[in-house]
Amino acid sequence: MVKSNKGTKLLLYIFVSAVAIYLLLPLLMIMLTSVGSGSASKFPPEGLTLKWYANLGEQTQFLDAFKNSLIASTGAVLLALITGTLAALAIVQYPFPGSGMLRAFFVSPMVMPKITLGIAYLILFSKMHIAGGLFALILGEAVIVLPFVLTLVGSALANLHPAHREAAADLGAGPMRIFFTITLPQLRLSLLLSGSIAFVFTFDQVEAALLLLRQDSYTLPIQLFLYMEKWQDPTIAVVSVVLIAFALALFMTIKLVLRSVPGLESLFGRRKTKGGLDQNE
Amino acid sequence: MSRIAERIVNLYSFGNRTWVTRLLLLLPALALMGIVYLGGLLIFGRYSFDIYENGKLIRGWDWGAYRAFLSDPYYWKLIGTTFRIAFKVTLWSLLLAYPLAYCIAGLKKPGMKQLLLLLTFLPLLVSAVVRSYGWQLLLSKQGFMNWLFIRLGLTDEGFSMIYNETGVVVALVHIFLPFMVFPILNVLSQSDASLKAAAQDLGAGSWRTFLTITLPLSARGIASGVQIVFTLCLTAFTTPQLIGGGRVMTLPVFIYQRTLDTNWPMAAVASLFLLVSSIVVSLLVNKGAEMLMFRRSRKGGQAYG
Repeated sequence: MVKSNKGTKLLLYIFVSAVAIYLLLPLLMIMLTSVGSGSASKFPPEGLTLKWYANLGEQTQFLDAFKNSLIASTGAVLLALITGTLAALAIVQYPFPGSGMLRAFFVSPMVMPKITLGIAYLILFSKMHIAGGLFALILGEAVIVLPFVLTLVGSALANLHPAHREAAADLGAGPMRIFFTITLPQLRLSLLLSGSIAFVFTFDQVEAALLLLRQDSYTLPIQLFLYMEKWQDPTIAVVSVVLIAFALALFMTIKLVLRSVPGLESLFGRRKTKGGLDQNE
Repeated sequence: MSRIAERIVNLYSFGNRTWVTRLLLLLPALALMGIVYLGGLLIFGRYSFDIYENGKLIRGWDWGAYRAFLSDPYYWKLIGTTFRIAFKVTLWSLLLAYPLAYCIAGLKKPGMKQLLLLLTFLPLLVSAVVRSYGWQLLLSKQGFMNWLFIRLGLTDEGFSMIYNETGVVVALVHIFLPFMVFPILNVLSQSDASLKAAAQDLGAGSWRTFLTITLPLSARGIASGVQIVFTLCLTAFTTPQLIGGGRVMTLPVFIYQRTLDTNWPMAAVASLFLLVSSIVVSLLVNKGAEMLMFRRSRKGGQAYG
């Protein structure tokens, strides 16, 4: 067993607790502000009130923005999932000279500064006369999240047991049938995982959307961003609390779904045992 | 891998029908990436050669924006600020993330471990706009931090910590900390516990074990964390814009403002610079980590041999 110094250990725990407080502090402050009466940036708040929550009902622009965000994120994630999975199939199952290069190209939006992409989209979509709307945003964001899908689904595909496909082919199934009855069900976990990461990511996207969207199609982060630049009343805190709750709910759902599916550890690369790795053998 | 791939190809190919299948599979992604991504970047790149004069764009092939960007001290100051902030944020994230990751990796109780993991990754799920707002509340003149400082007797009046570089750094560390914790945690939880035990059997104290075994073993995790956080910081826009309030000028903020006054050439040149710098930084960090690992493994090989 590893012996360690009691004092050092205590110091470590104190330090980690401080970091934990640092991580939580902004979120706690937002929650406090959302129920505080008086101006937003004053601490301690003068009293407690729920009026800002009631006020939110009248601020229809946030609800509209939330709807826009849902539409844009869902659209972008679906587009990325479909195009990304098909491309991963081509690259992993039918490799060809240059497929590595193609893969690198598809993954490259990951390192591209998002502000650069935002401006590139603005110019391109203005030329195509679709700038300002959600459709343009969906196209643009699909490019940004395609790398997640390609990486996760690609590595899952590479780890699949070929014997299942071979057996299906021996029994006379065509490639299409093999894909839908064998491959796709085996991919559901990585589709879910990459889909949720992509969703959280696009839901947050500011740079691409800020430049691209017109007022009636603002997404929630954009609406918040612009509202924050102008005003600082606690309404933003209320919207933020709702967003935090939404994120937590999403997290719990994903966690629940993932827990109900066995064999997850291998996907995360944690708790890898030597035996668990050799799926390709 | 390649053997399996070969088998699959043999299984599925009927003459040159494979090429048709391949193309059909690739077509949607190729169309999306070709038109939206490559098309957008090419058009954008083309604009870097235009001329911007008196608020108007003139089509042309000119290096003016490049020349201006590289010769004017104003832009070098901008680049300096951007890199300085990225450097500070990376350093602070590393200092905070390493003990956190070390603690999480060492915890035996699953409950505590889960809680700390949740704490680390919860902020990641909350929008950067929302978190920047939280920091605005904390750091403003009448905010919590000043209230605390006055209580502790550190200051009488309170001072504004937003709209300056410190505020931007504090908020950015919060935003990017998870990206530093994750790669370090990954290598720490995968590294072999028997090496640590061996070192201690040979009489090394806990500090010596840490310095000679654990820290070098986590070099790769640190390298990828540094790489991710540094490049994310170079290109971060939301937080510097909101917390900096226009007074902390970084390259992304500058690019955004040039876009608003349709100075495409300058925006394009600055973006290009940003892109090239993040690639160069990534390569340098990778190279550095590799050299470090190589030296270590060679030394290790001699010691064990």
